[in-house]
Amino acid sequence: MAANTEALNQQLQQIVNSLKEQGILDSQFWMVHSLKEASSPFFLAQLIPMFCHNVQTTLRDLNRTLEKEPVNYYDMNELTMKLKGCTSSIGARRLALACVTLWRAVDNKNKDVCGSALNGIRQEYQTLRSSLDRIVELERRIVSHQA
Amino acid sequence: MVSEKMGFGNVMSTSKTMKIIDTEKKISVLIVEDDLLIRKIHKVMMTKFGTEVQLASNGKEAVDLFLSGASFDLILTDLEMPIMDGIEATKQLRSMGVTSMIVGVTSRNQDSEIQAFMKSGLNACYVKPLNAEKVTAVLNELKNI
Repeated sequence: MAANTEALNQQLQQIVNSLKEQGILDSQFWMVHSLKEASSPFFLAQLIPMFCHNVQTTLRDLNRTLEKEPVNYYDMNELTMKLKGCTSSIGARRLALACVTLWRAVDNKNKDVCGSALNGIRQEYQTLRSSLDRIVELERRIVSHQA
Repeated sequence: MVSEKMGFGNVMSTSKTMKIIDTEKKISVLIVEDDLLIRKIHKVMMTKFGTEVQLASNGKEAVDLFLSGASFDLILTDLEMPIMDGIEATKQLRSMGVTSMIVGVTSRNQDSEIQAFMKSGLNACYVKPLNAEKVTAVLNELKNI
């Protein structure tokens, strides 16, 4: 059982380290992972779905705001900052950087560039999403082995 | 773009009279943040650092806590929140005579935005994410006053 847990933890470490090498995640993610000790074993497995829901909801709202005429750049700004905050807080580095790109386009009130930047965020999220699903799966297996 | 942190000796810091911290008991922290995910991360992080944490989901809740008689050694507050934002909450708390250390934690990183937040009465301001290094700096500053 201990050997299985160790193997699962190694798999998790390999995935996260690979994502870090690609710049997709940064050290904040391991810090968030370490918060399990002060919370519950399910902390990360619960946090990641919450994060994904946050991102999906905010992307939807950004899309809707951009589609309206005239574009409410104030709202775009607020939504972008909200997304930047949660992506950086969980360590999703490239996603947070993509938010900065969108922020610049919003600041310049350039609708076309906003659209491209929003697509960039979607792509980064899709890239990250499958890895996050795998991380959650591993976390749940690790916790069930430890129980 | 402003650097990651402003305050604690930086030219933009404000020197507010700080209350004496009793180092025998746990440091009490109020986290003021509307985003549930970030609130959860910050809560567990501050708990891991051995502090006693209470939560508020906007500036008005924070002000109401103080009005009801609560007090905290440290307030970590977001800038943009519904009902009452971090600037308004900080101004109100300072006008009420609250001398707790108030630290802003925001996604914003433009000079003008951070300066406006600092002017409301913060002791320091950090750009998200809140990490172990920033928490350590804040708690060390708190213990050294």
